Formats: sequence, structure tokens, C-alpha cells
Amino acid sequence: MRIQAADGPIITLDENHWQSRIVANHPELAKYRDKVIEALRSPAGVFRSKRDQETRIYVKVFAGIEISGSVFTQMPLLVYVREHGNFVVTAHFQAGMWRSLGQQVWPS
Amino acid sequence: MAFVIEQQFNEAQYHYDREGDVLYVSFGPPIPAVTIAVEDWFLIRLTPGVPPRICGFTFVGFKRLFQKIRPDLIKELPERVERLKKAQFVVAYSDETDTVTMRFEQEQPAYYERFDEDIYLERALLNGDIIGFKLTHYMQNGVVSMERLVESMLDALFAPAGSPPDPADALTRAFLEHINLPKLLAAAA
Repeated sequence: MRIQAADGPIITLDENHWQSRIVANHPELAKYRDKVIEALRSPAGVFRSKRDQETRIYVKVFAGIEISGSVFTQMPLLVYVREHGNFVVTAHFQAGMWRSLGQQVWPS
Repeated sequence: MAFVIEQQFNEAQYHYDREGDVLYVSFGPPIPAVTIAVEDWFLIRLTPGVPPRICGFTFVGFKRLFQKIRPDLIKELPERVERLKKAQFVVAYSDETDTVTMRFEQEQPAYYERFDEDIYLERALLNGDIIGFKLTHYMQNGVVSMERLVESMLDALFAPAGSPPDPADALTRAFLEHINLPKLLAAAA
């Protein structure tokens, strides 16, 4: 699937990669593929990774995310995109962060 | 409210996504979890229950980042296979002393070395190895102390080669020994 991201690029969310790599290792994402797509299309912000300039992180906060029976009223979803190839690398629901993300690239 | 959390790591599974350069580590089969991002590339996966349990780690851009890690910190990391099989992290809080202690190894005769304000390294009396650390005045300063500690370790990890020795170097190296970095690298080979 190819997705028009808010900051311009066309991003690939490969079905096989989604199932065999991302969901296989982060199973809480299994029923939230639509949220990942939404985060790419209308993020709250897009950031560079703090240590890797070739990775962009799309951030969007969602309500009502259910994980293992716990329902979270506000849960940020972070979607990682590798610029070389513009494909979704991984994603996760983030309950907390100790150090901030890298530079914000969108909105500028 | 005193507590003790003990985390065993003897069921680690490794899956390296070569295309995405992501190393997934799980303790048992992967299960639904939320993450705490130490930095955006280093994710700690926790089960949502009480108390939360570490069920894995995710390293985004693992190989790419490994190339940036200070080589002297990882040079000749001992394998210590037998010790690593029993690796555990035990976190305990005493409300009597308002102190959090975190140990990588079993409790043993030790002494404390000041690392920073309210932060002390625990060193084995026998050989001086770092086996953990403690944070004092935890209710008041614990979060800030933890952030300072983690920041020091991350700064040590990515400091330019040839950087002058820093108190965080020894702690960072001790931590790397206990997360079995050679095995992580082998999984991503």
C-alpha cells in the first residue's frame, strides 16, 4: 500500500513487512493498521530520529487504544519511516519517553 | 510503599529485520505491550499490568547506530556466558530510606561510589565490578536522577572516540556486559 504522507513523500506500507516484521514483534498493533496510516496522513508532527538522520518519525495521539485489556484515553503512536526507500520500518504505542525526539521537520 | 521488582532474562528471543534494520528482543514470545522510549531508537516494552513487566526491547536502526557507538566501550566485552544466563535486573524501593536500588547481579558485599548528586554506583567489594546503582531521596529527586543517569550513559555511548574518561563510562560498559551485546550483534549479523 502506498500512502501520501502529510509532509510530502509517498510512503510504502508493505503488507508482508507489516505482518511478518512489525505485527509479529509488536502484536499490539495488529488491529491498528488504520491508525498507522492515519498517523502518516495527518500526524501531529514529523521528527527526525535523534541519532539517525535517515529515519523520520510520524507522531499522532489517539484515544481509546486497547492493549491487553487496558484502555488508554491518550496514547501516542509513533511510526518510523526510512527515507531511503520511503517505507514504514516499525511503529509502537509510546507510554513515555525519557529523551525528546530529534528535530521537528513538519510542520516547519 | 516499598516494592521489589525482579526481572529475569533467560528466555530472550531475537529477531532482526534486515530490511528495516530493527532488532527486536522479546522475553518469551512477543506479546502486546506499550513502550518507554529511552531515546527514540531504544524502546523498552512493558506489559500494561501492575506491576509492569519488561517483555522486550526494540532497537531501531540497530546496525547503523552500532557503528556510532564508542568502540573502546565495547572492545573486548567479556562473554561471561554463564553469568549472562542468570542475568537479572532487580529494582527495589525502601520507603524507610527513600532509596531505589537497581542491581544487575546478585546481592553481595559491596561499597558505594558517588556518581552524581543522589546517585551512587554499587561496586563488588571483591573485584570492584559495578553490580548496580542506587538513587537516594527518590520521592523528591528520583525521576530527575534517573534521567541524569540515563543521559550520562547515552552520552558516553555516543561520545566521539578518544573522549576523556567519564564516570559514566564504567557504568555504561557494565550495563553493556549484562545485556549481552555480542549476542545482539550476532543476531543482527
